This record gives sequence, C-alpha cells and structure tokens, in this order.
Amino acid sequence: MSELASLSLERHRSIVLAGVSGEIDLSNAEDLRNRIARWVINDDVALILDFTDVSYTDSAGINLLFDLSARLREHGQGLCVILPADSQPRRTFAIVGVGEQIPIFETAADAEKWAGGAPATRPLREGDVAHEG
Amino acid sequence: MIGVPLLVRGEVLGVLHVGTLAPRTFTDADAELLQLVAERVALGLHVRLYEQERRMTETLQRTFLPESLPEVPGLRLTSKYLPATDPGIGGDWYDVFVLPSGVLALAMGDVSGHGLRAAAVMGRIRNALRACALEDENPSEAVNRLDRLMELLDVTEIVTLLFGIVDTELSEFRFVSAGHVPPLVIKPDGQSSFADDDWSNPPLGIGHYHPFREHIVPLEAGTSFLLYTDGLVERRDESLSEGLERLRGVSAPMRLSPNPAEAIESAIRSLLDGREPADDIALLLVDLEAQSSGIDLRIAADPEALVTVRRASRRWLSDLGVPRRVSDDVITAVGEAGANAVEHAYGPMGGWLHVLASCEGDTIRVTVSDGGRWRKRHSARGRGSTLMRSVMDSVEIETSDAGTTVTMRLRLPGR
Repeated sequence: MSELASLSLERHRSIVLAGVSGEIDLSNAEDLRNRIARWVINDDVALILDFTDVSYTDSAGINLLFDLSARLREHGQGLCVILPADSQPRRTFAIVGVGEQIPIFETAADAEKWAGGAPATRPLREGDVAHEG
Repeated sequence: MIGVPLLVRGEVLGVLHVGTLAPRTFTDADAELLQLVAERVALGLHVRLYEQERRMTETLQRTFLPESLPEVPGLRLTSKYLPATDPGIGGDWYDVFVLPSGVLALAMGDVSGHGLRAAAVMGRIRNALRACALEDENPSEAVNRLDRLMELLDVTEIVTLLFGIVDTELSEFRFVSAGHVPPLVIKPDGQSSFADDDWSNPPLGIGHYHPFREHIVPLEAGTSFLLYTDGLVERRDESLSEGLERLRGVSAPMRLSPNPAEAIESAIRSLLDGREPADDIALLLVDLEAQSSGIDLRIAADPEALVTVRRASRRWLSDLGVPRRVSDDVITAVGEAGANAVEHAYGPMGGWLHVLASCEGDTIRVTVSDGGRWRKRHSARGRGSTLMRSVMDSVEIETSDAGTTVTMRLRLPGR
C-alpha cells in the first residue's frame, strides 16, 4: 500500500485547488502537506482543499490543515475546505472545532465563491488591475 | 565419407559424418551401424537442448510470478504453480497486488503455446496489466486498455485472462473474464458454483471492440473462491464442462482448510488421477476468514501499521453489523490511540503495537497497548485525546514501566 491518498493540483486565476482522495494519517500527512505547500506561490490568493473524496483522516490530517492555514495567513492568503455533510473527516473536524478557524463548504461552487472574494483580505500589490464597470 | 541424419521424432537436429584416413568403401552395414550411433547422439543432443531451454524458461517465468503474496487482514491467499513436464512449460501466470486505494487486485492468465516465447509474452502482458490497473481500478476498464495494447505488445498468441478486485470492505469480488475459465465460489455451507459461465467475453487481442463485461461475486465471511487455469480441468478425452464439474466436486475441502497448501495439492492429485499434467496448472485460492469475533492484532509500531489496524477494525465492525456512523467513530478512536503509540511510545528503534477488540453484550471494548513509555508532554496530547474522548463512552490510559494501555468502551445504540 504505497500510496494511501492521491493528490491532484491545479490553479485557476490565482486560486489553487488541491484535491485529495483516499485516507490521511500519520504515514502520509506530512508528505501531503509539503506537496501542497510547495505548489502555492506568492501570487496565489487562496487555496481550496477538496476533501470530498477523503474517506478518513486522523489528527495528523487536522494538523496538516492548521499548519497550512497558519502558513497561508502569514502571506495574506486564504484557505478553505470542501467536505460533504456526512463523512468521517467532517465529524472529526467538527469535534476539534476546525470550522471555527477554517471555512468549510459542501460544494466546490461555494468554496470558489468564497475564494474569489478572498482577495479583499489581501493587500493591494503592484500590477494589480482594477476592474471597471 | 558417410553421413547419417540426427533425427528426433522426424526433426533433423544435424548430420553425423564419419570419414576415413585410408581409402575404403562404406557398406550398408556400416551405414546401419552409424545410424544406430546417430540415434543415441540425437537423443542426447535433444535432451541437452531441451533441458537448456527448459531451465531458461523456468527462470524467466519465475521472475514474473509474485515472490510473496500481500498480507490483507481478513483474507488468506494461497497459490500453487505446477509446470507441465511435456510439452514444456507454458505461459500460465498469476499476479496479486494492492492498488493505491487499498483494493486487492488478482489476475490469472494463460498464454497459448509453450517454452521461452510463451513465457516472454506472459511477462509483457503481466507488466502491461499492472500498468493498466494503476491507471483505472475498474477491472473492465483495465482489461479494455490491455486489450487495445495487445497489438502494440506484439502478441499474436491467444491469451485468456481473469482479472478482478476485492474491495477494502471485502464485500465483493468484481472481475472480468476474457475467455478464461470461470472462478469457482465455495460458500460457507460448502456449496460450490461457477461465478461466470456464460463466456460472454472473448480472449484478449482478437479485435474485440465492445467493452468487456464485468461480473460481481458478493462475498461474505467464510466464503472462498478459486482462480485457476484450464490445465487443472482439461483432459484430452473429455469436454471442458465435465472437467469443471469434476473440479466442483472436489472443491469443498479447500475452503478455509487449516492447511490450504495441502488441500490444494490433494484436490489437484484427485483431478489428475495419476496422469501427468498435460498443461501448466496455476491456482490461486482466496479464503475470507470466518466471521471475526474480535481483533487480536500485534504489529510493528510503524506509521504504515495504522492502515492495517483500520482495515481490521472496519471489517470487524462490519461483521458486527454496526452502522457506518458508529463504525467511523470507533475507527477514529482506534486510529488516534494507534497513532499515539506509533508516534510517542518508542525511540528510533521502534517497537510493537497490540490491538485487542471485542464486543460483550451491547458494549464494544478496544484496547491499544504498546511496550514503550509515552513521552510526558505528549501523554494527554490535545487533539488525538479530544477525539478519542468525544467518540467513545470511556477512555482509560494506564501507563507503567511495561508500557501504555489505552482501554476504550462504547455502548452500541439500540442493542
């Protein structure tokens, strides 16, 4: 069982979507975190973690979330998670209060809407273009 | 000079020449004598050539068969390979591997022909199948891909294949048979039946453009199934269905046998009935352990052990008929207790982890023990501990010099 979880990474207009499927535990959480963190660059405004297909996570998965969240916050970047209502990860996150610090959405559309609004928390930089109309 | 052919079964291996230093005429009697010598020489040559190829084929083939079978909690796998003595080793193979999602993949195949060529072709197909299965875990899709590859792989032989997966809950065996003999399923009551006898799919690589049809065998604790090649059931003097029927007749003792290797050999012996096998025989027996009354799992305390602990727990809870939500909770708690032991009990040298679980009346009791000492600052480590206490009714942690034991209890609702 070499790979417990698989990871897909894509970027749309400065929003990174990291889709994880499988199980997250002590054996792979750190590796997943590193692979996701390496993908995010300075220009990104937000990271969406799609955990729709995560069937199990232990506290190592929760540490992964808080760790990524803290790193991104330092750079003014946002983080949210997509999780279906009824799943082991959702219940686990609820118990330790993940939702109080990291927004959790049930659909990709809601997450993207949130992430699209996230730039408000980002300081304006050179090269930013104001939209007209 | 006189020459006689070196003949074996009508095939010319060479010519034996004899010359003289003094002029003389060879007589018919000389030729006859020389022919006698040639027969001996030809036989010896043939055996040497044949032996050499046989050894090479055997070596090549062995590299394509799994060295050891994977360990899957709740399953027992036993394999047997019996090469044919005459007309030589064929292209039978089997393969067992675990895919990234944790499902178990099983393959059994047969390349027509014998000798080096058959073994080499078998190797190509075996590797290609692994690659196809990694791309898409659906057996029908994997076999469709492999089928399209046959020409590219330069395979002109007829290849039959049975390929399927057992899901992580061990609830079903989903397979595709490309013209291969059907799996035999032996139920807990000893009744045996063939899982697919409609032969709806042709062998691989014969220009088949429709998707291969999948079959599903529902599994339950105590069920066994058998994958094999036709060498096991084929006899020159009878039809295949008679052979299959004979296999069905001798199959019951193989299910959950205390000594599966011996049970398989005894079944093969009674099927061969004193004859030499006319073809290779490959056989893979999959036993689903009888309903688990609990868990008693002792493994090395590595991060990789946690998935094994979860699999064993999931299977036990599913046998108990516990609802998914409760089962998730128990697995969360067991996972955290296990992770604590793996992460904090031992130094770099590692150690062991012991998980015991049982259900007494309406209460589940799980203990997770290790032989180390949790480092103090971690002993009540925040999140893991919060999780365990939230999902279970009680959590007790006992630490002594001999190690740490976490005992957790949960009353099952509605019992």
